[in-house]
Amino acid sequence: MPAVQETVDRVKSVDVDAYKYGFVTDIESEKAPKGLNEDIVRYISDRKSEPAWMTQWRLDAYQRWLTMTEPKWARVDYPPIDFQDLYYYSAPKSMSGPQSLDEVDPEILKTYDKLGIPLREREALLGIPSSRVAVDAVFDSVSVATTFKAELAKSGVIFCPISEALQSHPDLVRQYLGTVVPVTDNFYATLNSAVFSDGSFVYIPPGVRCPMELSTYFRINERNTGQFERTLIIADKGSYVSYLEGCTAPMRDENQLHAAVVELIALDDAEIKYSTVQNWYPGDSDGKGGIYNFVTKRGDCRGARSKISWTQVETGSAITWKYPSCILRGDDSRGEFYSIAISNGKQQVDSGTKMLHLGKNTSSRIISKGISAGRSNNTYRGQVFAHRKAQNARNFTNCDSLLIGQQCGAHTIPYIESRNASAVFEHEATTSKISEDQLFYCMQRGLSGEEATALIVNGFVRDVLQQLPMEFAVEAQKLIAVSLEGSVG
Amino acid sequence: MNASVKPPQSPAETSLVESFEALRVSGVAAVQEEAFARFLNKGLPSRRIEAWHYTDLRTQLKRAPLPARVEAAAEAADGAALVFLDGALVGEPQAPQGVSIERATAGRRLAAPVIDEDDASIALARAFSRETITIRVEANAHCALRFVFQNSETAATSAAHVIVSVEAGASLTLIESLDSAAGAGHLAQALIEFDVGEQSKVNYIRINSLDAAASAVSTLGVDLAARAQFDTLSLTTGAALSRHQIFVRFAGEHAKASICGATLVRGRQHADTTIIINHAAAHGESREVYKTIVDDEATGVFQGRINVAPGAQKTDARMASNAMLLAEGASMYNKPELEIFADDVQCAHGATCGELDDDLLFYIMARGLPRREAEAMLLEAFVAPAFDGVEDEDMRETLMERVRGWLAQRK
Repeated sequence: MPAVQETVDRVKSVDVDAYKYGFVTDIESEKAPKGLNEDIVRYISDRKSEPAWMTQWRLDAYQRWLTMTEPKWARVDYPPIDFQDLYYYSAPKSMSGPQSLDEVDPEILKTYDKLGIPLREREALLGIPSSRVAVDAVFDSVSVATTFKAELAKSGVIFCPISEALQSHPDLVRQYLGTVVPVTDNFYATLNSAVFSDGSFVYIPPGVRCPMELSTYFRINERNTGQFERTLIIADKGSYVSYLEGCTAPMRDENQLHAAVVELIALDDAEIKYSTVQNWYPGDSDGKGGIYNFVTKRGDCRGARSKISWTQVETGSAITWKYPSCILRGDDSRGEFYSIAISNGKQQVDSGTKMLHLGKNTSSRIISKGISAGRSNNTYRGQVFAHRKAQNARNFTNCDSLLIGQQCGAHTIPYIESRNASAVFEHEATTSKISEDQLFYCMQRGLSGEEATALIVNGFVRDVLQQLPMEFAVEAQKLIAVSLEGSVG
Repeated sequence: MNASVKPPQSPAETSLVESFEALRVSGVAAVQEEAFARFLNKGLPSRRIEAWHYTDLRTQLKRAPLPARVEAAAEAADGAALVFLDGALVGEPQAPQGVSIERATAGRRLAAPVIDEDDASIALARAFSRETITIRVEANAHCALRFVFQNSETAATSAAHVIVSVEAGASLTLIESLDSAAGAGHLAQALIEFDVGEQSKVNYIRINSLDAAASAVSTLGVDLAARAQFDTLSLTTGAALSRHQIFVRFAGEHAKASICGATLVRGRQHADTTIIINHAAAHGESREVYKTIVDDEATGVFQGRINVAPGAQKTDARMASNAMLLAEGASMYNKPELEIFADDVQCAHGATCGELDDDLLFYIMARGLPRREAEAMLLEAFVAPAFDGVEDEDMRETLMERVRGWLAQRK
């Protein structure tokens, strides 16, 4: 039995044609000339008034990038990207120099309003105090506003655009930048290292529990622009932070490139929770347009007893190539990965995670749920590795796929590599229809067939939705249009 | 098309070129030449080739010995056994009733090949196969056969190619054993293809107990017609380096296959099992259960892929790979894959990897058993489910006896 009507309808409601964030903000922007060369790299560095070492770092990355070739191993298919036919830097014209929120172009504020992202603190304050979220809003290549900076500073938390951090905390940036995702890591990460324009920088001092959720909202607006943001989050000893990331883009006929790098560093006893709702424009139902999303996300559990948790809800992008990973270096550290990936239309998703167990008594957990519909292809690709010295490493992996329709595909490609006898790895994956037994059980208790199915489908993704912070769970729920049983969290 | 043949990339490739030269002296068929040229173009599979990610023949295969000289061996084989000495069929085997055995020069192929001809190791096996043995089991016949692969005291590079065609409604039980003389560094290759007809049934048991000096690269291809059933089990304890790859295609509806195995390795052995199941027709059912025990500094590899083609609805496919690591230096690589293009199917795979449970050990030892015996008891219980499908009790006992023998040799 294939998926029932209700599930089909719900997935259809987030179908590519129903993309709600596809409007364009008409705003004058300042762009670097098209194409990529050393001058462009210098131009970007110059626009940000970066220190000389940073400019050199970028130039080295650029030189390295010239020698690299695009990776082809992923199960995605797309025409060659012309890297010279892109704008690598685009900023709203009004954005020259630092300013307060009042000076931000009202058009941009309107854009974020329309997207449902509160940039005015007083508006945000109207909400329940515990649900306040500090936002760093990135518009094309620049950060336009960061809220609650002052309040966060009171607890010693640094939350600002990375370009600002390069001015105000250059030593911190220099100490950690590129230590998790090295400049030479992969084609897209190296490209990002050369041309990254903005992104968020977070530093949580020792022992501090970040008083509110931090978030970044990425918006691509300009035509023919690539977005290359870079996020660096450092949780010092014993600290905690929960970070949210959201993204949307206008509907355009051409494909746009997004190649971000996210680096997380957790020192002793620190915990980072990183959640993403990825809703880039997926292209139309014929596969025209849409974002190419080539992202390198990696967390380093550098300290003992540290913890990094990735949660992602992926509904957007024409192509997703993304493997949020954890390097479990510290003894007793823990990595988690929770993912829901929904593909529709002609979307292609190749996503998963890597859990690299290096320290002793490290543990990791992977829960991945893929739903494919339309003519899409949805691949889970993951690696679990135990180093010779990773005594008592533990991993549990579960990846389930649900197929809706005859023309889509679901794939699971795990690499499970154990080089330590005391490591215990468990992996399970299923692709299945909804079981008759489950349906029967629910219907016996008075639910209609549709209700029963809805309940079971909710159960299918619930493991992941439960991991999302409240604010995101609501958004994710809307995206998936799967109602949960009353409460989230 | 082979205008530019690549020069050898490793000592093993160089020695394979020499080895093939030696084969030429006694004459090779055009198809062998063609296969060898294809092989040279690709070279030995290395870890850059996804299907060989964990078994890098280019570096792990040190040297290929020369092929054995062709001798007219006069050894009499008993009725239903085909004895292969260094890859060559010995004598004229007698075919049981309902079976015909035909020897032909190399090059014959299955009507619809199911194996991956792009794989360099298959090209190599074709290059070194002097003849193709075709075994035909007539419709509705029921019979049993044995393959005995022996490898002599002189190390040799060899290959055997066998096509087994089981016609509609027939049944075949085939038991294969692989042995080699102690200390001889053979490179034993085999290419065995099955064409399993409608409603026929095959039960194929393979016992690899090659000497720890030998290397083995073998490929099994199975094409299943409607309502056919294919059960295979392989027990691997032998060879320094072994790769057993299995390709199964569900060409007809309602076919069933069970592919099980136990791999027990120690020392510095490296054992790789790679399975690709192609569900091309609806209502197919496939089961894989693999148990791997890795001791000392040995390495176990299990790669399994289930492909479900569009339209292969109601497929029910399950795959399980469980590994037990007994020593610090042991490694296990599991790569179970699913590739699904139909929406009304049930597919699942599971993979685990770990060490013996201390609590269980304690429980048994508390009842008076010494540690080694307690471990052996648990390991025997761990392996046993792989043999569940063996209907013949004597056979199951023979297999378990081999497992016990291996466990008894643990240091």
